[in-house]
Parts: sequence; C-alpha cells; structure tokens
Amino acid sequence: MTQDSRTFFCWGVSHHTAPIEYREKISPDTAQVDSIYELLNAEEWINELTVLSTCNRLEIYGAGYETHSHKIASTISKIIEIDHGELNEKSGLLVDHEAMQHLFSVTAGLDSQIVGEVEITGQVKQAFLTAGKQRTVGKMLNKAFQKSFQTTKWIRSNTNIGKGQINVATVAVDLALKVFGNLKSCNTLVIGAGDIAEKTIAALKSRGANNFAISNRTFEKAKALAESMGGIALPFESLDSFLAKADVVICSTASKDFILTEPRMNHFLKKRAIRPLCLLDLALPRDIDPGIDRFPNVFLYNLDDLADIAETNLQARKEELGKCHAYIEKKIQHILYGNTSNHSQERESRGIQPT
Amino acid sequence: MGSSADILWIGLGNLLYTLGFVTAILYLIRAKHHPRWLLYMIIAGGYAIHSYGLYLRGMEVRGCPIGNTFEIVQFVIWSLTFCFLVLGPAFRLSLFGFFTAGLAAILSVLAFIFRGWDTPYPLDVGKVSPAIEFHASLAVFSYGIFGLLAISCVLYILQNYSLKHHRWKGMYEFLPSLVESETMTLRMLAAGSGVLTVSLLVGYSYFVQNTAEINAAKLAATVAVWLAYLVVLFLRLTNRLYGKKLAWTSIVLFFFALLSIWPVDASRQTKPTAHTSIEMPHE
Repeated sequence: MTQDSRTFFCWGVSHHTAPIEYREKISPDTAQVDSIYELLNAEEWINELTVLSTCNRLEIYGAGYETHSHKIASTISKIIEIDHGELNEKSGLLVDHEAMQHLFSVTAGLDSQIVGEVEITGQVKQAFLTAGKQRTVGKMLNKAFQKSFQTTKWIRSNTNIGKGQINVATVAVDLALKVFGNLKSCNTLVIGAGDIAEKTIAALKSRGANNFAISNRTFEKAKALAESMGGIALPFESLDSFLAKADVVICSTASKDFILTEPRMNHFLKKRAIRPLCLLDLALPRDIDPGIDRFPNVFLYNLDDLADIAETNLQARKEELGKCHAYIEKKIQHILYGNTSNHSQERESRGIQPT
Repeated sequence: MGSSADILWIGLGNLLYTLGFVTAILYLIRAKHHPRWLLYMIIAGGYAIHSYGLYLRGMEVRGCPIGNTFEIVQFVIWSLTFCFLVLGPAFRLSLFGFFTAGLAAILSVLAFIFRGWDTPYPLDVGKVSPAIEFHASLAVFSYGIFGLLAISCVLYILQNYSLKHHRWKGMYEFLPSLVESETMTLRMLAAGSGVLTVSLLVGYSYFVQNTAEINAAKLAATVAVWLAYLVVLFLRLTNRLYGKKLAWTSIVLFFFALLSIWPVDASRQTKPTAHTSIEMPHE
C-alpha cells in the first residue's frame, strides 16, 4: 500500500452524523446495494469498492486516484430516492490515514453505538465478501480489510473491549449463570409475554437453557410466545403449579401490584428443594416483592440492578478504547508507512506470531 | 529434626505453592484471571519437589513422615495439592487452584515459622506396623480432602456474598457458580468422610489387638472429627444442612480437624516405649 499512489477513502453516514429517522430512510435493500455497486463501479475514478450497510451506518470504502464526495452522495440519493443536498450535508469523507483508522475502528466495534459489540465485525466481513462477489475488491481494499480483521482479532483477545454484558437481557442471563453454572437442567418460568420476556428467553436459550414455561394474563399471548420460543404455556391461574420447581423466574408484566409476594413465595420456598432460586424482575413497576431477597438461597435482581451492571460494563469497555486506538494506530503506521520498528518490538514483547 | 536435604526440598516445594498463590494474586490485582495451566504447572512442580522432600524424610524416619506437627502439616499440604492435581482438571472450578495454592502457602508459612513443630520423636525400630502406618496416612490424607472441601466452601460463601450484595468486580468476577461449588462441596464431604472411615476401620482392626497402645485423647479427637463430618454429611444428604450454613460448618470443622492434630500428635510423644526407640537428632 505504501507504493500505491491511489487514495483509500471512506464516504459515509453513521449514527454520529444522522439520527435514526434519517438512517432508516437511507438504509438500502439488497437490490439497491447491487445498484450502488453497479453505478459507482462505473465511475472512472473509483477502482475498488465495498459497501457497508448496517442499521447504524451506510459507508462506502474505496480506492481511486480522485475522491468526489458529492458524486457518491448524488449516486446514492438517486438509487435510494432521497434528497441529495441533505445526504451531502449528513455524510462525510475520510481519506487515507483517517479512512483506515475509521475502518479498523468500525470493524473492531470501537465506533459502534454499543462499544465493543461483535455483530459489526461479521457485518464488515459480509460486506467485504459481497464486494468480492461483485468483483470490486483489489489489492488496496483487500489489504485494508484483511488487516482490519487481524487487528480486530488482536483487540478482542488482548483487551477487555468485549468483556461484560451490556444489555439487560444478557446481563440477566449472566446472573443466572453465576448461580447455576449451567442452564441446561434449569426450569425457567417466564411471567409476562412482552418484548423483554422474548429477548430474555432468546438470551437464555443461546446459553443452553431449554425448559421454559410461559405464563401471561392473556393466555393466547403466552401460547404464541411459547410456540415461537419452544416452551409450554401456563394459564395465569396455574402459575403456582410451576413456581415450586422453577430455578429461574423472569417477571416482565405490566401489573401495578406485586405478582410474587413474600407470603406467596414463603409457601413455595418451604416446598422446593435446596436448589437456589434466581428471580429476575424486569418489570416497571416491579412484579416481585423486594422483601423476598432476604430468604437464603434466593437471588433477586430488578431492572436497576441489571442496568447498573450493564452501565459498569460499558464504562469498563470505554476505558479500553485508548488501548485499542493506540494499537490500531501502530498497525496503520506499519501498513501505510512501512514503520515496522514499533510493530516488531511490540510483537516480540507480546510473543505474537504473524497471522 | 530432619536432615538439611529433606527440609530443603520440602521448603522448595512450599515456596512454589506460595509462588503460585502470589502469581494468581498479581493476576487478580490486574483484574485478570490467571491462566489455569500456569497455576496448575506451578502447583504440580511444587508437588513433585515436595514429594521428594517427604520421601527423603520418610526414608529417614523409616515410615510415613507424620510423626510431629511439622510433618503432619506437610502431609496435609501434600494431600491437599495431590487432590487438587487429580480433581482440579475434572471439576474445572474457577479460582480453585488459587485457593488451593493459598491454603498450601499459609500452612507452609506456618510450618516454617513455628520451627518448634519439627520436634524430634522416638523412632520405633523394628516395630512399624504397616496397618498403623496405612491408618495414619489415610487419616491425614482425608484432612487434605477436607482442606479442599473448605476451599470449595470459601468459594461458595464468596459467590453467595457477591450475588446477595451485588459485588461483581475483582475476584468476584472469576468465582465459580453457586451450584458448581456446592456440588464440589458434597463430593469432597463424601470422599473425605469415606477415606477417614476406611482409616478408622484399619486403625480399629489394629488397636483391638493392641489395646495397650490406645491413647484416649487421640481416640477422642479422631472419633470426634470423624463423627462431626459424618453428621454433616448425613444432614446434607437429608437436605437439612445446605447452602451457606453447610459452607460455614465445613470451614469451622476443618479448623477443628486441624486443631485435633495436637492431641493426636501429643499422643505420639507420650506413647509407651516398651520397644527400642531412637531419638532423631536435631540438625
């Protein structure tokens, strides 16, 4: 890349420059992405091209002897049928060093709304594969993307950027894991059949849980969720039949009163075996009487507790950003200017083998 | 007592356990979990060296080296690390190695601080019964298992505290789950009680034929420890003692078991010397 006189550029709109309402409007479908490839590839000044489209960004990475931000905006506004002026205003262009820094940061999840999230790496890889199929990837983009994947791998392995869960559903699952270690043999009772319940069940399933009972005041909703998530539906009146054998209870109803009160739980806690009980109250107002937490072997967490953990984890991730950016900068120095001394020293000091 | 060679090897083994503990602490201070293999290798290295030291001591005393408090504590450390090396990879409990190295290090430091523990004792030349040696070594070995039991209970109590009081950072981050710790606790309780029972059965078969050698204090202390663990095991199996109470009981009981070493040890110093005995010289 150091001998290449072309410019590496990144044109784009992201959550930093445009609100969600605007990003929704400019999100292209598959056919529109194909059109972007076709029309931009036809531009003489663009040699290489990759289109990255996610819910938080629409970005064009490319290589060429010239860069024309307004021409890209014009092409895209025609394809997506949006106002050219507004798109031009909300978009930005980065070149060479800055563009490379941006690509590496995006791939590693450092530029994401949720810092350190891993989905973006897969999305960048997918975009790069699509560009390969479109035959718009050449030497420059290939090297830049491959290096960004390697850098991401290093960052994931050597920093705490992806450590700790940062959304309520996965934090809840982590807490259940701290109690049980393995969720395979756990009986999970879900009271409420809304969006939070669904997300939490999905998170639990992804960590091995498979015995679910779902209960809701409107039985049909419980039944529908049970069918889609793979569990059994319980009539709200029969809740007690499952309470005694439940290991994890998730509450997320809109009830204004406590559903699980201290006297009610006291009755079940005497009946149940010595296994601990993990209660996750994801409702607001709360569904579970906080007094239940005083029972031994019962672990109760409400939304505030989970949000606190998520926030702490997110802060910890942000504290790692400096370390990640410093590493990216070293890699880019090496790629763009062939500055190998720092890189080699670091590799030697960390015992890193070439990938 | 003891030659400089055995003390050197035993001390070196103890030093490695302490090194493992310190290494793990340094990792925790940096909010990182120590590499499990690293601590395992350090403890395994310490165990090999420690074993050689105890072998030298055993050759010197012409039997299992459990003749004074120093030797008994060393044998407990040896049993503890042996059980960890065998069971650790199977259970894969987070921080298990850390606490094993920690307990081994604490006992090691105590054994070397209190040099008076390594007092000379009469050697029973020509009258070392294999049955009584087997009984004694099994009994001390069971103390090693009870040591691991106490460690799994500490892990349980810390995790329970973490979950109840919402402490997630530092060491709490790396603790094993409650259920894993409790499973380990039950297995160690059953294994330790089983080994101690076998030890007492072997001892019983010997002492019924040699009633003159029975020491009341030793018998009372050993049977008390054995009965206490059996009662705890029974209460756990019948779901009457579990969770935090079981954990605290097991920890207290382990210290009680360690304290019981003194009457057992004292009985060796005062036992009848109708046969020829050799006083081991101090270094």
